[in-house]
Amino acid sequence: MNPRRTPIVVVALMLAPTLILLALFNYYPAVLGLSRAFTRWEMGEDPRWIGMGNFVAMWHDEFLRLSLRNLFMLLVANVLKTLTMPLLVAELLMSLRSLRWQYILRTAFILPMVVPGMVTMLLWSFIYDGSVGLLNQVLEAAGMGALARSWLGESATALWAIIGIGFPWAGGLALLIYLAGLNQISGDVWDSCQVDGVSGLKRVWYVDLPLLLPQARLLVILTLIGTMQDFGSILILTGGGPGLATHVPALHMYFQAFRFGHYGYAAAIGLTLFIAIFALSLLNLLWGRRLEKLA
Amino acid sequence: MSQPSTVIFLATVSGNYREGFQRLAREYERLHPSVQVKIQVMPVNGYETWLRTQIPGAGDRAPDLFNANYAWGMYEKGLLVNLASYLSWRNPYTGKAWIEGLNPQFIEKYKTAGGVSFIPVDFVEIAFYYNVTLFHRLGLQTPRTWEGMLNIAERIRAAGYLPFAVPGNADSYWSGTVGWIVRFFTDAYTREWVPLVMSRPGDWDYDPARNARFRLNLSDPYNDSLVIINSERLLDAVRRRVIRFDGERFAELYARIKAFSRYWQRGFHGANSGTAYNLFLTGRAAILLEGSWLIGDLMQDMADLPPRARFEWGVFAVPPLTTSRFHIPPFRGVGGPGLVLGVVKKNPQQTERVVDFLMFLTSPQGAQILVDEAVRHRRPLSGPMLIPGVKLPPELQSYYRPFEGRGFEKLSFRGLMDEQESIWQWTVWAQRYMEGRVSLQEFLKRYQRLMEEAVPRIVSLQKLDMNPRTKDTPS
Amino acid sequence: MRPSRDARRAGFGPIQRSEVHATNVEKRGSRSRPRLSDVLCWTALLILLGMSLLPFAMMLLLSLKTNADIFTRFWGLPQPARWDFYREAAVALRGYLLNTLIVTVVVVPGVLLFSSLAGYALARLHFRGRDEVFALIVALMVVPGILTLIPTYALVQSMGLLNTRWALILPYLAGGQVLGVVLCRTFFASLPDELFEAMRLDGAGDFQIYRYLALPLSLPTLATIAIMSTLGIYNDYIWPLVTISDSNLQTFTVGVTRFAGEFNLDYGPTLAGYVIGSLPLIVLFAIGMRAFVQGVTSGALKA
Repeated sequence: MNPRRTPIVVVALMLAPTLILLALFNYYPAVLGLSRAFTRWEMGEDPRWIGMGNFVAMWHDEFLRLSLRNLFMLLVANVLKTLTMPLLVAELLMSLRSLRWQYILRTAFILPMVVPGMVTMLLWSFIYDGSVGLLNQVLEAAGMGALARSWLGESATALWAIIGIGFPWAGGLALLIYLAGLNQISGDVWDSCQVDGVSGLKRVWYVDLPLLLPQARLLVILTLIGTMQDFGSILILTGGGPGLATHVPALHMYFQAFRFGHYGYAAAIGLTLFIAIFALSLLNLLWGRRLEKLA
Repeated sequence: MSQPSTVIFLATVSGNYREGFQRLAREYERLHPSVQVKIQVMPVNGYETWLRTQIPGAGDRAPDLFNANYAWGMYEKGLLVNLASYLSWRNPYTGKAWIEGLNPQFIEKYKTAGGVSFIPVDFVEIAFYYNVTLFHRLGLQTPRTWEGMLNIAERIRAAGYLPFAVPGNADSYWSGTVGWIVRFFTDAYTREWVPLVMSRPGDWDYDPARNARFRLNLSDPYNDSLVIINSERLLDAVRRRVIRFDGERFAELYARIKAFSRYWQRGFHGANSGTAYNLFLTGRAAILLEGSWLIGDLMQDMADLPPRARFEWGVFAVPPLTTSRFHIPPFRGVGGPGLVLGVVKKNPQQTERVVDFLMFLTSPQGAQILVDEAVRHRRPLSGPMLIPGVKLPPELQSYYRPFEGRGFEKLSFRGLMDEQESIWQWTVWAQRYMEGRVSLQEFLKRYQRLMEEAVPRIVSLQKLDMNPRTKDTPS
Repeated sequence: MRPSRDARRAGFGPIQRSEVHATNVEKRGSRSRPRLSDVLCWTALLILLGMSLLPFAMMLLLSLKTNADIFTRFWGLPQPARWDFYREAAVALRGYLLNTLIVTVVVVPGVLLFSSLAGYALARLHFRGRDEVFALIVALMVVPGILTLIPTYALVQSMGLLNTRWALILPYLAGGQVLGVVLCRTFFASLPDELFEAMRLDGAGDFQIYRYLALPLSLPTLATIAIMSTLGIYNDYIWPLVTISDSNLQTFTVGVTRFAGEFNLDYGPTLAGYVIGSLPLIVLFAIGMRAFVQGVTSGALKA
């Protein structure tokens, strides 16, 4: 093909809106996010360069330190959630005889995805309510009324309650991705499994799981990135409390910026979270390469 | 009859007085055929934004009279009338000086920059609502002392009921029930510190009428209510540890609050005010600490319950603490003005007309119309009226009587001087202490530290020079 | 909560486009498939489905009950069913939903127009620096919202846009394009050159080719982008929370967290409001399920 140069005017007209918007609202803030982390920048004041000052302050910030434990718990729990139940449901759906029912059930399982995230959160705060909450009602109906409590109101259970949101965690994006992955596994592979007498759980373990590794890897990294950044749900459900029981670094950043006016310090927390996310993503890429080589 | 030649425009969010304002306007128009009174009741949402566009934006079409509870800073900008000079005028509807028919203490306390920027019509206060039916069944009387109240709580619990329903989320620690409890406790425990931090001769905000005659007297509950506190002196006292948070005083105070919390529902940190209210309304909790504005809602909600779930209820004031290592005065409650009316500056003639209407509104017969119509339309009153001589129907009187503390609390230390970061830190450590995750000693250590750390932040935020003689807060 | 617009923009993973289009289970013909025990399978699925949907079923049931009815007979059918709660809730939420709608109808067409234009330019035009520009846009995918939240806020503040609709519209318009451009460019690049050459030989200019060839072909991709944008706007909480203080401009997601208080903590109307707020996305889902499924999957896969 003969690459003719397109007139520059045409190129400019087509690209200008996108590039201007991205430069202003994406690139500029990103650069600012990197540089302002090294400034003392209080609400209503001009930023002043202080080098690593914010990072030193972070090191000594007891609230931040205590929130790391919660983040770690959430990361582990959310990864486990995404690796288990949706995969189970995907396998169960795939083994249904009727394609029609498979389709109907899949639709039903992803239905909760369509409910606005905020409605889901508010609904779960109602489920965990100490007086008329659904969970307590279920426990009472099951004769376990003694277990009833204000699930988000006690340090002992608050973080677990947050982890429990969406139980049984079966639908959503993960289910769709696993189903896509299972659909990619060629029929021949499963045919030959049947011929070789590899069936049921054995097949799932020896055939499906290794072939689903790319999907699992993707979901793990997405979960890690999402969990590190999400604080809206915690803000709504507990505000980080009681005490610090559900406090996380991203929420700390939000409080520092929008409640206390410490923009510079908050930017430093944001930058640190970005570095952590970036590192995890890189690790994921490297891990992926290694796996490909092994395969 | 001549056409109305002038219009008085009143804007408010006080929906409970909706019908009252309308009738008041018609009555006033009957007395003054040349005046038309326009009433606009707005939703709370957007009211403040609307006000700020109307005043001064709309000029003569702006409201003349409005609920000024949402307009902080407008008086300082010179947009509102200083009503001080009108207070001595004769109120034609009572025949006496206007001020004599108002509550002078309230007007004095809520002066803005030395001027009277609004007239308070009613006020809000907190007290304990209790389940009278349950009290009778258990043979209990309303308590006279704090200690007596805890004894009653013990007996309620022994009978298998929850003594107190208390919301304990972060909102409650700041502006709700737990915050109120901490406030009236702290106010009582720190009354002795008022002389330490009040403004002195030579300070920029010193007012001899208020501070010069003040002598601390712990047996007079209100003698410090007009005293002006100097914020730089307060900050300095915290900085120099003249005021300490890790001493015996706060140790006893917080131990008492924690002892009280043993009678609250389990997991109260997860409850909001709605949860707590529902516990009381469904008869599961015997007592609820709430504001005077709840009376109307509670009457309504009780009537909506199925007959067998209804119960008789009453209100008692926060009872005084009688046993302490320190000299602790009676609790003063928490509260403040509810409906407050300010006058927008237009021209002197219009101001006179508006003041005349305001005099009518704040005369006993005028204010009585507000109350009567609210009661007739089953609208909740936010609290007792501040106009002497206004009568509540007898069946309501017993409900409103306990709200008498009038909330003249002075020092409260949930964080330092409303600074957000110290408020949050205090809430975190207080919740951890109340949950038993940190000891009292550990909590007090953190409390002391977080209050000290807040001082330089506030100094920088408010650009203070820490010299009480100079005014440097941009107000 | 589902990750916000920014959070979703943050994810990046290996390029596996085929997955995006392979989710349509019903396309696969019958083939011999391994089976777990049918009964076991059905039981497990139905139990899990029941547990997943129970909260939503209870939301519907309780939304018709008064507080007294909820307190005394939690599991019972409403007696009588209070359909008027839905009217009450609709009145309270109307303004918030309208604000979300206004922002959406401005932003989504804008995102589609700009990202398809840019995608076309980056795939089909020839100019120096083309690949570098594309790389710069792709690079934005690794920039998480958490890094840019505060600087973007400061930017919008300095532009004097706080508490205006522009504070939402402009950043959404920009943010929605990262994924939009990448998807469009990938799609346009995958089309055979012959189509374009044929039109060019007929004398069509680039804008005509874009308008009459590229745009019609890319409708499925655009539908995917539209759904992603709509979801992002509808679900975003933090950004409107910090930039909009006037409740007359506030969006549904923030508004719904505040409206419960308006009903004196009556659960019925509150839950009715949740149902009403869920309807727009459910309708969207019902209309374009395929695009929806592709949208959320490709959003994750990030081409």
